[in-house]
Amino acid sequence: MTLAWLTGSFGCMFSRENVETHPIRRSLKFGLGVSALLISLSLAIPAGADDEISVAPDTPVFGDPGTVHTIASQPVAAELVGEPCDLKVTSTNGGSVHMGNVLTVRTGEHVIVVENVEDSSDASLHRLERVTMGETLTVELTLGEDGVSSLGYNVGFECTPEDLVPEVKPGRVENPDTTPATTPATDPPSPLPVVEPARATPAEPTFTG
Amino acid sequence: MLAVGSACGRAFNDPLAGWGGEPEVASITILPVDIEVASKVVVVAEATVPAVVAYTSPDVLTAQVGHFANPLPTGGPLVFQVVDRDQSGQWLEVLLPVRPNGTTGWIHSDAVSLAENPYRIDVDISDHRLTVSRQGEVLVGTDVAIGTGETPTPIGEFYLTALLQPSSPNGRYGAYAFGLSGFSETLREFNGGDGVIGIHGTNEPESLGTDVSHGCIRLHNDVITELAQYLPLGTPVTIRN
Repeated sequence: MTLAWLTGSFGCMFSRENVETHPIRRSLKFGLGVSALLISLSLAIPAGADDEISVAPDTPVFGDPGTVHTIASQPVAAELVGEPCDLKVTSTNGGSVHMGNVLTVRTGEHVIVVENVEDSSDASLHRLERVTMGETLTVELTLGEDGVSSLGYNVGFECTPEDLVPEVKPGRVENPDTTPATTPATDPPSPLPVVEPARATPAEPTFTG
Repeated sequence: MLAVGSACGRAFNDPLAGWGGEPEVASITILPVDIEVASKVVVVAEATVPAVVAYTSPDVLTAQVGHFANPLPTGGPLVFQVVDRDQSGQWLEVLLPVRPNGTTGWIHSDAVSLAENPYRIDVDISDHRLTVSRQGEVLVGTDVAIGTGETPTPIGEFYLTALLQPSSPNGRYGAYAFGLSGFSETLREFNGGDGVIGIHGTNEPESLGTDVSHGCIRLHNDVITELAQYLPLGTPVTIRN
């Protein structure tokens, strides 16, 4: 079983842009906002689905009440399409209140709706459903009364350990002398770039002098 | 009570604990170097999003320490000096440019890009001496002016947050002025600012080696001009007595 997660902090709503892929895990990322609403979405899916998609923050988006905005949409790995998964959605609002905003998560034939995600400060809502993964996973937000919402979050998949352990067939005798070498769970580190020199900004300082 | 697929690796802060089992520490190595290593290289985090929120611990549900806009009001990029990371590598503890001096907070690694910084600055208050080094090799040693007894230069660990170029190199801040993450402990505001300490040039080179400033560290204009050519933002600054 694999667990995936999506977190979000809603300060201002960003649209999707700049999708990148990464071989390790899957995630949709938006910049952290002022923390109005946070969403968590988790998937229990077969192991081997760890990869990543990053979505950079964009400009805030406002719309008419009732309009639907796609917050994120990502393809599901081919090996996962049609697989049963536990889909967990958690939303937690921060300080800002926007009445009637609805969060919708879609994959395949399944639709999970979390209503009133920003109706009150610090509200925390949860959904957990078994779904069959479709070809895409889409998160939408339907704007409520004031036509305002804002967010920043990411989506990632993480595997649970038990599913990474190969199943042992009944009656099979394991020979410790032939135990296969383990594969490192992490990618080898890659070097960080060296930081560039500062670029001076023309401005009058207000330091203590 | 909220469930976030936590950025803390196995410490999955999940109200639905037990569901799905404990997540794997899957393998995502965000930081390729050990930040805690006592080498002379530090890690600088530059914001890649319009705003970065710092929390008291590596969890978005904890209290916010600060909210930082990117770019800075002066136009430069928002940077932090990284001092630690959590096990997952998804959260970074950074030194924050807020009062009180030395405050740290946790930011999400998705909000920044990371780079190594081989430079550091050491300031010895009693000797009125500033030293710039690169991985242990001293590049510059120079006399400085520091704060008076009433407006002392604060002691502690800071980093360079900004590099400004005043319109005139002959003004009180000289040719360039680096902003620090630290603040005066006696001045809450100064010259329209909120008491941020700077390292800058001067139009009074005769003051170098004395205690005359309001807390800033003054250098000779030639020296600050040289430093402005290669020092990165995020460079750690240690001020000791």
